[in-house]
Amino acid sequence: MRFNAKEIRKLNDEDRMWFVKKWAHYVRTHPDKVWSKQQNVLINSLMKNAKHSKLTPKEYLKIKGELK
Amino acid sequence: MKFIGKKTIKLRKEINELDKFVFRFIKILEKYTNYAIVSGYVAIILGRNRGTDDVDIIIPKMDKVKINELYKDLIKKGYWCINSGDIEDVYKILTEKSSIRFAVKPGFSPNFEIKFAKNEYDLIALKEPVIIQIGNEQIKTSFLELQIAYKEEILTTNKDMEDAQFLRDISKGFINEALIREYKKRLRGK
Repeated sequence: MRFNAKEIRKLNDEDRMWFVKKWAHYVRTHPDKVWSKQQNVLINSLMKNAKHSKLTPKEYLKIKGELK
Repeated sequence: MKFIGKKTIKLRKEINELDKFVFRFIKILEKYTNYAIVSGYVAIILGRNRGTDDVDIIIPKMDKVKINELYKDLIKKGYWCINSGDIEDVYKILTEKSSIRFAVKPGFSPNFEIKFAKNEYDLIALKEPVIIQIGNEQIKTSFLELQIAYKEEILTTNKDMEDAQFLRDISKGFINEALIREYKKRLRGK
């Protein structure tokens, strides 16, 4: 089976959206304490990793398009 | 998650490090101005499973004296402005319809991206806030209908379309689809 880049992107987008809907359903049907406990594993680890960024503030602003 | 009327959402979730980061900043900010948090963090606080490197905040237009007071307080409390350390620059950036970013020293991510209200939608967000309550903490945001419309009509990246879908799904039965359509029409300029 052969895919081109456009098809792969489309499938990837569909997969991501499928997961968003599935997670939203989980959030709707479970107590806040339950879904947030799981969500917090991701968020807290991202917060921890953010401290170790190799970018400089200038590079960050450039990526954001706020510095020429 | 409980939607109470049109203007309050009550959560009983466990607080994470990003929430703490936001609550701490908001306590300083609200001493000086009204505000509305919009976009990605709103989806995240309501359960979306993703991270963010910035929290978008709209504030009303303020004069330089007031911005200076806010700036000094933030510096005193361990924040820094990534864009510039000069208050003249900071105010210039804000008034030139751009945004300034504050982070906890010496890092830069996550940060708070602060903008002056620049259009009728920003003014609606400030004038008619939706309150998200978690225990004793609360933040102000704008109508979810407006945020969904803005994401689907103006921002339109994959991330924004996913946020919009998530907000639609978790608030099913509470949001007004006709209002989303109306906002989208207005955003398209029709």
